[in-house]
Formats: sequence, structure tokens, C-alpha cells
Amino acid sequence: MVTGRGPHAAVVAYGACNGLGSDAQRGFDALLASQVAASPPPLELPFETVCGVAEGAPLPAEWTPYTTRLLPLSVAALEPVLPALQRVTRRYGADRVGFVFGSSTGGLDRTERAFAQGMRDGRPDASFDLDSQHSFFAVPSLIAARFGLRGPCFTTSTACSSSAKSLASALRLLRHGVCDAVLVGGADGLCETTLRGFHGLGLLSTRASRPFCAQRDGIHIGEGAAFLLLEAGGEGPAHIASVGESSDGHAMTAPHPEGRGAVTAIEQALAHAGLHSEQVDYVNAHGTGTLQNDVAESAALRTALPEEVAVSSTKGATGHLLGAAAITEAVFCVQAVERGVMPANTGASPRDDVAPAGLLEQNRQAPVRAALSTSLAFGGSVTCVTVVAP
Amino acid sequence: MTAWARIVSQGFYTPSGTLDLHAQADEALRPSLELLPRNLRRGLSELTRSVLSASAGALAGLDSGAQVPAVFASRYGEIQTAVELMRRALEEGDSSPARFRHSVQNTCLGLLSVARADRAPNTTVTAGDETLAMALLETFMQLADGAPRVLVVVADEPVPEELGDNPLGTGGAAAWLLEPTPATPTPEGEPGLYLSRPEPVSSDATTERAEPLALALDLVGRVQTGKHGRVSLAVTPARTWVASLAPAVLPKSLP
Repeated sequence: MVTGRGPHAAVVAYGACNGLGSDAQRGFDALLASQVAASPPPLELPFETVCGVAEGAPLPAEWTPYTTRLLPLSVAALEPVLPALQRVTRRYGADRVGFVFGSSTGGLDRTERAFAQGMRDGRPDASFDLDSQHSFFAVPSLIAARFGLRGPCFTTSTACSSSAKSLASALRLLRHGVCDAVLVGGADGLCETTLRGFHGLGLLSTRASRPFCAQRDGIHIGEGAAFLLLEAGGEGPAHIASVGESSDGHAMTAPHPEGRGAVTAIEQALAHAGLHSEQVDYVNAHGTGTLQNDVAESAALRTALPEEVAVSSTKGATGHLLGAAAITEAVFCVQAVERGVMPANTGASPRDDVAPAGLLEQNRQAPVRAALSTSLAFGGSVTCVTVVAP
Repeated sequence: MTAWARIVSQGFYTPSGTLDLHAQADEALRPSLELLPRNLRRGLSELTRSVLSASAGALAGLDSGAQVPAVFASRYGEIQTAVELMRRALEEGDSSPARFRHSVQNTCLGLLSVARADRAPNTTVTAGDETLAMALLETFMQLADGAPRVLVVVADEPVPEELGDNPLGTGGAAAWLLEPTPATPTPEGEPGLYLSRPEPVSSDATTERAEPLALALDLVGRVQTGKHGRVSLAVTPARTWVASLAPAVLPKSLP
């Protein structure tokens, strides 16, 4: 089944933490049970919305000074990956294990508190540190230091496609022999700036988002973290076969109406994975619950794939996880392959006329040999991750 | 992986017009926004303006329809925009849609791709002290994947005083257009960059931290003056990343 460029990148371990659950198996079970993470925001806001609030794990004592919303989520998501991470580090040497991380807002919740305190007190918050709290690189630098990862380590930040870009870079590190294994992760935590920003753009729903539904009224934001450990030539429940990448070149915060960037990303992903479009069993769509995305993405899927391909968005269940969305949805694809079940599109009924013909309104149990996960981000950044059975 | 790349062209921007992040000028140089049509020039951050100005230099001479994959490297990204959004929330109780649209790390590359109708993919890299080194590693890997060229830009803007110290001086940007080296030797003097594996730091070495942007501007200067030899890309307590600047010759593999 596995084809494509270079040694296959096996997913040898994975973990996830979001509003559906603090571990990946509980989260996927909740997804299949049609649960929805939609709670009152944990912040004071002058407007109504709901959020996918997640509960993380306790921090190691030495990390307490660096606490931000996404750090406990990252700890929870990383925990099941640690045994395999130690194995590959021992096997290949620490400098042959890379780490690429995706985040759209980093520790912005901490920066908000530091700024507010600075405004109040008339002097900067002395306990605030840009590198260990604000920076998108804060979390990976802490993880790399604690677990002795000495290979190339960096963060990619391209809004909603951030952690798909992390996967793309990770595949490059493996393909070009720079690393033998790569930890790939992503995380984003709830913060005022993001919620106020989406509200200001008129994109925020007052309830859980309903992608591809005729009664949709926008996105709801969630928080979460997820990790995949990739090993060249390794063994695991699935492989990451490719990441297709493109740009719309159209507008900063709206997709091309016909999804031309998504068409290119999907076609590239399939070509690099050595797959024909008919071999795709399931698509985890970007599906944010906005009309613009639904129209553009549906058009792209119709152009690039057979009309009846099974499609669902899971953002109605988790909320839009921003920088953590792509890696979390890649984990859902891994689980779909592993367990032979495709999750339904939460809240799809009544479906919109523009919705993909193959939109799943119920879970579907069937072998999943190839799954795609698409992301359409601010700046016109578009990606398509291909997850395949071993 | 072929670890050589040819430096086709480069550009940089600092308010002082020099390669020194801490040089002050009586009157700041205006960044060039020629790459953007007028309707896209509103509400741009200092960071984005710097990137566009440096990129104008690096893309000079390139056909306007050429697709250019791009890598943007920044230590703190659109930090001034983030702070302005926080200030507006505190003082006025709302958000600015225009500023929020430009608050993501890939704002500058998104604008460039919209302005040029460029469908090539782009990405951003942040890695603390190793930001420049990791950006070049990512760039070399993309060239090895078959990208005909890659624009790599390193930029940062001054950190707002409400958040504490500003190690970035005036801020600015450095940009290079890199292409794969040709199979046959190129004429003497045409610059090529060779990326080495990281080297451990010897216990008796003094490691002076250097901002990635400062190191990037130093590389610009080295290319300008043809000063070949080792170029520092990152210095951390554990390791250093270096490149070699030399006349582009036959490709070599990363040892």
C-alpha cells in the first residue's frame, strides 16, 4: 500500500488532548459518540460564543514558571509518545531525532496577562519571558531540552495549516536523511486575542460550529495539542505518505472561491503518495463552519476527487484548534485507518446544497486504506496530508 | 542531500540603511513596498514592511510571473500587531479586523503571494537562537525536493516596551533568492552557500549569543564584499551551526 518518495514515514506513536478528551483514544471514542466540545469560554468576553475547552496534564515542577495554556495540553498529548521517543533516541542517537512543532498563537494567553499587568503597573511584568513563554518555539525548546532531543528542532507557524507544515518539514528531514525519526506536534490554547479577532471578522458562531450544514453560522474555537512520532522504515498503525502544499494567491482571509489551492495541494499529495484519487477512502475536511470555506472546499473536493468520497469535518466536535488542527486531524485519520471507522460530520443535518455528496452524517465502519486531511489557512496557505495503511 | 545552494540575489532593509541592527539614523529609511499594489499596503506592520523591502532586492530581476516558494524566519513574528490588538481590547473593548487579518506569522508571505498571484507554497520557521540555521536547513531541503528556487527571508521588529527588553534594536530584514547549484562549475566569484552539520561547542569556547537577524545581516555583508569562508548561523550553549560562503562549485552532499 505504501508508495511514494523515499522511505515511508511510519507513525510509531501518537497522542492527542483536546476538548473531547485528554487522551487520543477517549477523544476518538467521544468523536464517534457524537460528543461536542462546546463550553462557555474560560475568559471574560463582551460577546457570546462557546469554546472547545481542554484539560491538560500537570506540569513537571521545573516547567511551572513557563506555564501557558498550551503547555499542560502538550504534556498530556505527549505522554503516550514518550516510550517510543525514548526507544528511537536510544536506537539512532539523540542528534538523529528531529522535532518540528506547529502553533498559531503560542503562549499568547501569557503575553496578554503580561501586557495587562504592564499597563496597570506602568512597568513590564518581571516574571514574563519572551523566549520561554510568548514564543512559538517555547514549547518545543522545553520538550527538546527535557527529553534530550538534539536533532533539528523548529516551529512552523502558518495559521490553521501550521502543524501540517510541521509534518511537511518532518517528511523532508526523513526523506533527505537528516533524521531517522521526527517528533511532530502542534498546540494552541484559548486566548482573548484570537476570540476577539474572529468575532471582529464576523466569523464566530454563538454555538458549536456546524460544517456543511445549511444552518451553519460560523466557527467555534477550541484548544488542543497532538503529537505523532514518525520513524523512517518503522512499524505502526499508519504511515504519513505525503503532504501536498500550495497557496491560493487570492486573499488573506478568504479562500479562493473554487478552492484552487486545495485542488493543487490534494493533487500533489496524491502524486507524491503514488495514489490515484479513486484510492482515497476518507477525507477529513478543513470544514470550519463558514459559508466561504464550505463553498470553496466543496468545490475543490469535487474537482480533485470522486464525487462520492466519504468526507467529514471534525471541527464541529473539537472546535477549530488553529495551529493544532492539522496534526489533531491527522491523528484522527491515523485512528480511522487503525480502527476502520470514519467519523461523522458533527451537526451536518440539514446539509447544505453545497456540501460534498459523500458527507458522512453517520459514522461509517469500513477499511480505510488512504485518508486525506485538508487545511485552508489565512494567507492562502493550503495543505493536504495523506495518511495510509501500512 | 545536496548541501550547496547558489545565491542568485539578495536584499536587506534596516531603518538606518546599514547592516547594524543597533545603528540609529536621524531619519529612518523608508522601506520599499514596490512588491505590493496600493490596495494591499494598508495596515502593514514594521515587520511586514521590512520583509517586503528586503524581498524586493532579492526578487529583483526575477520574472514577475515566476513562482517562488518561500521560507520566512522570525524570532518573535508579528509581535507589535499582537500587542496592538491587546491594547485595543483593553482600551476600546474590541478588536481590529484589519490588524487581526495581519496578525499571523505568515502574513508577509501571504501578502506577497496574493500580490504576485503566486501559487507556490510557503512556510515559516521559528527556532530561537537557531532561527536562521533552521530556515536555511528547511530551504536546502526544499531545493533538494526539486524547487527551482526558494526565497528565504529573516526578519524581526523591535519588541514593544510593555513586554520588557528589546534585543532586536531597530529590527529589519535580510532576504536571499537561492537556487540549486548547477551540475557544472560556475564562474569564479558567483556566491554559493554550503550548509554544514552542527558542530559541538568546545568547553573552553566563549559563546556569545547573537540574534538570528544580526547573523543574517552579517551574511548579507559577507556576500556583498565577497568575503568567503565560515559563516556563523547560530551559536547556542550546546552547538553551533555554520555555513561556508564560497564560489559555487560542484554539488557536495551533507557529510
